[in-house]
Amino acid sequence: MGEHVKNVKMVKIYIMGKEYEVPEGLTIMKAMEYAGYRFIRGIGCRGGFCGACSTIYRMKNDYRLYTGLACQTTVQDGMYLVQIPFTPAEKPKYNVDELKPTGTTILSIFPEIARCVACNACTKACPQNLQVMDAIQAIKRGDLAKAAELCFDCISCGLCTIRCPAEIIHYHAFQLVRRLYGKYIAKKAKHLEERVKEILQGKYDEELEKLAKMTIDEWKKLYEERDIEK
Amino acid sequence: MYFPGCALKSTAEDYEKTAIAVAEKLGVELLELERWNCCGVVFNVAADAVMHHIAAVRDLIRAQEMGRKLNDNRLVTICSMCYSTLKRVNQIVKDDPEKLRNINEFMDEEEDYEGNIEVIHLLQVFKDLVGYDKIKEKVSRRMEKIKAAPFYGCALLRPKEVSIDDPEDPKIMEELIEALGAEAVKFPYEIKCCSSYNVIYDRKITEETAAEIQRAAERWGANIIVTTCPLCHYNLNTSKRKNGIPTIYFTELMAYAFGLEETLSPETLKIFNKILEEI
Repeated sequence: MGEHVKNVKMVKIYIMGKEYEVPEGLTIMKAMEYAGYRFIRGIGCRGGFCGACSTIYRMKNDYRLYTGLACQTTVQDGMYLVQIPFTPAEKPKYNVDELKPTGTTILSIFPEIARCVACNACTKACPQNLQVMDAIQAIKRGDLAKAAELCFDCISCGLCTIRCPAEIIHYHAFQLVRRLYGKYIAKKAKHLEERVKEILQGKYDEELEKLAKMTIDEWKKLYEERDIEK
Repeated sequence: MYFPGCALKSTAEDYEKTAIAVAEKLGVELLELERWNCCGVVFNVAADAVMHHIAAVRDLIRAQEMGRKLNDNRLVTICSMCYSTLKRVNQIVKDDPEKLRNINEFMDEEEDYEGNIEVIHLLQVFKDLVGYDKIKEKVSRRMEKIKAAPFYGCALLRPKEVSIDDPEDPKIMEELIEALGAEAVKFPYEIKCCSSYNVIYDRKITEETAAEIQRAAERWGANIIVTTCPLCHYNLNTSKRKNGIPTIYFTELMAYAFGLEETLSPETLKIFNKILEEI
C-alpha cells in the first residue's frame, strides 16, 4: 500500500455478506481483488465484452436487485454484492443445416419461450441494456430478423436467464436466432464469399507458410509496422 | 390503432393480410402498434393472478403512448383470443384501481396505464364505424352461391360483460355475410366451443367437436364456415373429417366479395372455386 492510498476515499462494500473497505472508484472486480479475492473463474476479458463476470447487488435502503458486470461497474458505498459466474442451463444440440428459420423451430427447441408473461425482468437485468423481452416476443411471433437485431449485442452473461420467472434460456435461444438469421435470412456478403473462394484456391498459402517460419521477433516487428485502417 | 397478436404474424398470416386489405377498401387504416408483446393469452381467471395481466396492460400502455400521438384511444383486435384477453384485463384494471396500482408499480420502467384505452374487435369497426350499407357498395362479385355459417366460438361472446353482441343469439357476422350478398346460415352450434387448447392434450376431443360443428353447419345447408378466431380455424380445419366443409376467416370472405383475390392464399381461392363449380 503506497502513500497515495491514504488520500483516497474509502467505501464500505459487502462481498457475500462480509464487510470490506475498498478505495472509491474501483470496479467491483478490482475491489474484490483489492480485498484479497483471486479469480480463476468468473473473469475473462476485463473489458465488458465476454460476459463472464456477472454480478448482482443491492444498495442500502433500496429494495431493487441490481445487475452489472464486475469489470464495468464501480463500487458504491453500502453495496451488497455477489458474483454469478455461471447460469446453469442445458445447451440443446441441433444441426442448424437441418432447421427451418421460423419461430416454431425455436419454440420447439426452447418451449419455455411460450411461457413469457412480458414481465420484463430480463430487460431490467441486462447489463447491455438490450430490449431482451421484446426479442423473446419477436421470436414468439416468428420475426427472427427483428429478434436477431435486438439480441445482436448479447454477451451471454446469463443474468436475464437467472431472473426469468418463465425459466427461459435467453442466451442459448438468442444464439440460435442469430445462427438461423445469419444462415437463412440475412443478405449474403458477396465479398466474404469471394474471399473464402480465394482462400480455398490457395491464394494465401504461400504467405501463411512464410508466417509460420518466422521467429517471434520477426512477428513483433511485422505487427508494429502493420497498416492500420482508419 | 391495431393489435395483431402473434398468431396473425405466424400461423394466421392470411387473416391479417385480408383484414388489412378489406379495411383499406372500406377507408379504415389499421395502424399496427409500433411496439407490442403477446397479449398473455389465455386470460387468467384466478382472482389474484396479477402477474398474468402484465402482458396485456403493457400492450394497453403501448396503445396509450401511440394513441396520444394519434389522438385516438381505440385499439382494434382481429384475433378473438387477443380481443378477449385485452378486453377482460382492461375491464379488470378499470374496475379495480388497487390492482391497476399494483401493476403500474411493478412496471416501474413504463408510464402508468390510465385505463383510457377502448378495446374493440374488427367486426365492430365494420358494423358501427363503417356500416353494412357501405360494405354492400363495395361488393363486386355475385356471392349468392356461398352459404356461409358464422361460427363465433367463445372468445367474442363470453363472458357477457365483454361480448361484442348478444352472447346467446349473436347476429353481427350473420348481418355482415348478408351484406356481402352471400347466404348466412345460422346454425345451432354457432356459439359452441371448438375444444380450444384440448387439441394439444387430446386431438380426439377436437376431432369429435369439429365433426359435430361441421355436420350441424352442413345439415343447415352451409357450404363454408366463417370464423374470427385463429384457434377455431386451426381446430376446425386440421381436425376436419374427409369431405367436411372448410373453415375460413370472415375477412377472406370479404376479400373475395370485394374482388381482392390477390390477397387470398391459393388454398382459400381453391375453396371458393370448388364451391362455385359444385353448384
